[in-house]
Amino acid sequence: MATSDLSAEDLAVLGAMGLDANTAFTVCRAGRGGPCIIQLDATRLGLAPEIAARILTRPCSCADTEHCAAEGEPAASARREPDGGPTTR
Amino acid sequence: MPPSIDSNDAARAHPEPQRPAAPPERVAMVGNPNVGKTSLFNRLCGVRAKTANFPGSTVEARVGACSIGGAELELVDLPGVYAVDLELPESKLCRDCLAGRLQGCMPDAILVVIDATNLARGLRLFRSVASAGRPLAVALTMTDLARTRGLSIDPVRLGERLGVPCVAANGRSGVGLPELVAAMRAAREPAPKILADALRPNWVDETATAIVGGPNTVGSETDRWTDRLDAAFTHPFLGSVVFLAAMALVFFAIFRLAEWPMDLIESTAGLVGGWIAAAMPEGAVSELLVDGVVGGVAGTVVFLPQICLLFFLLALLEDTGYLARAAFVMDRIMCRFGLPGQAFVPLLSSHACALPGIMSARLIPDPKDRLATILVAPFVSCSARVGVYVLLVSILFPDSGLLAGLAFAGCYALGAIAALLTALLFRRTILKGKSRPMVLELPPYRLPSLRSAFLTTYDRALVFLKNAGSVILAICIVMWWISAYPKAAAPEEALALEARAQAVAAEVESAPDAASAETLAAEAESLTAEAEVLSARAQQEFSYAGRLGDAFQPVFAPLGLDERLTVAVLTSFLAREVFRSTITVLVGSGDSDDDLRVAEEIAQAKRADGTPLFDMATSAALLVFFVLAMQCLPTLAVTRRETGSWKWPALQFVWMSAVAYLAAWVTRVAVIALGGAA
Repeated sequence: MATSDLSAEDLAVLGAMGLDANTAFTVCRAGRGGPCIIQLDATRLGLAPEIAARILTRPCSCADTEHCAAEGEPAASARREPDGGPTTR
Repeated sequence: MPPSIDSNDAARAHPEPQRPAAPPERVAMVGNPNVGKTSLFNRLCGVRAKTANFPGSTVEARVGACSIGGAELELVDLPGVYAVDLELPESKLCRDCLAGRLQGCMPDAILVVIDATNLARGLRLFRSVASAGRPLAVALTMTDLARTRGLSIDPVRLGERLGVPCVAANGRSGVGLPELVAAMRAAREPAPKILADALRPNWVDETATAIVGGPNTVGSETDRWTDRLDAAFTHPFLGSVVFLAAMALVFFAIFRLAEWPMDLIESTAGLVGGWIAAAMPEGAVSELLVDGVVGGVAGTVVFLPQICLLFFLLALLEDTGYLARAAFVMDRIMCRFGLPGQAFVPLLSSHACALPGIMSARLIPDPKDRLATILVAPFVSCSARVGVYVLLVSILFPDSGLLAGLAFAGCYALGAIAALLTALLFRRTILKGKSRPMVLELPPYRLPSLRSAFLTTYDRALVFLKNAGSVILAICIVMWWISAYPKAAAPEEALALEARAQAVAAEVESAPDAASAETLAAEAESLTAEAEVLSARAQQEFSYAGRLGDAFQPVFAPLGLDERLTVAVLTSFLAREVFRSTITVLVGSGDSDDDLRVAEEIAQAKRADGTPLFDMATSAALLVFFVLAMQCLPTLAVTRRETGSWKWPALQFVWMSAVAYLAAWVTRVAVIALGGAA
């Protein structure tokens, strides 16, 4: 997750769930206007459109999310995209 | 390579000399949602647990006793939270409990339950809980799943790192429970150095990196299977089809499988009532016990099988991980009406009965969403309405099965539309405010635990029975009393019929042959039944309920209701199905199980001026009224219990009654305008 313009309350909930700035995650189902599914480590989260639309991500430059994190690169890996191409919000 | 996950050694895991003076007697269990905390609690306490509600909170905890390994512990299963410092009801309840602000729930120690597949998130929770300043222990769950992902976590090393006892435990298999109890008894406060260290921003990541061994297996076979299932279950169209199919099965089970135990409860109540009536002299006390207590309780407890089935099936679905996917799919539709995806389950369940529907609204995390769902659930056509629909639709369309079927389906559609539009209205007015947007954890797919499902069902059934035995019973007794008192003298016509019946019965013995005797006996029985109907009708009219009917008749006159229909509608506020029996007594020839015969009899009833009582406009208005009106006292009582206030059931009653009245009046006017007055 690169940045977001979510409220402090929503950010606190997402942070407690493990989704912070500079967190690398995988988009499992792109929302296309509806809810989307992301995966953080072993946990999958369903995000409402109004939440997902406010999260700005940057596609990971390589498939290794740990590598991206080590490089300090804000990253979201697009490992698998059942709905289509990489998602960048 | 790190040691295996299951190598518990509680003795090695708490080397620091921070042990409290005495072992804890009450331990609060804290953990993220879906970490297996409640499975552990159920395994430790079994049926020795009860749901605890706290004043001012819509969230509840469960309290139970555990006596594994000779140790007697009281456990408090707090709701799953991602952090205790969030402004959410469940987080507030945890904060209050851990701070000792909940009466009777002050814990001596805290057990933090951490999912081995998501150690970092569990460590964040541990860090926020550690500041409570109470002795801690850690239970590491989901170790089997972690192993399938190639992860390896040593609970002893984790315990050493955290400075508290830590053991791996599995609530489904029971593995590690004695060690877990020992760890709870050995709970300790982490050393100040560890607490200070945990405040560093990188502490969570560093600790997780140091403890977790094995490859990062995101993209493993487990993920591929989850991907495939999620592709189907969360697909906008296919997911909706799967969900509707799953709910249809649940609905079918509630409707059909519950029939037999419901019949059993009704017949048992009949037997018990018969025994009491036979054992006691006739009088007010006997009537109170038979009609008020036994009748009232049976009328509510009869819903218990449906409630048990619903919660059992929902518990199984939730345990598999599917229910979260269903909520994900339905959120897309329900959010248009200001409701979350989870609201679909309570609304659909309400088609069987609003009581389990309202109780299952606990699945909804946001308080306003939950309240909106509870308030609109009784709009959905429940099974108790079916009898009234059949009666009125048969009167409306006696010769057209197609029109009758369409009207029947229209009743269900009207109820659902009213529920959704009311939800939209409430969420934009009295329940206005930002609801929590869906951020839903989709737990891994697993085989459900029958044990947990049984215990959940048992717990819900106890809550319901407790409610039925207190508030609902009191209401039923009051309603019985206003229908049964003051006592009316039997009308002369009834006395005359009774005398004729006795005379005919006396002739039976002197009948010339068996056939004549049989005819005479049947005639005597028919006369007695007719006399009873006349007496019951007189009693209805003379009772407080009947007088209320007279007083309220002008209010219902615009809907076309005369005094008898007004009494029938008023008594049906106890429960909708009462309408059928009341109207049968008031205008029919007596109670009958044959719907069509009753409909034919009632359809012939006349008003004082000789016009049909059930003309098309009145029948249509009544049908619409019964679709929309709040006529179920047990539902109001359950709403009060679930919302913690009489304000919400009062609003539910007033709103639904007003909508029903207005819609019924509009229907009547429209039918008359279309030429359907007669």
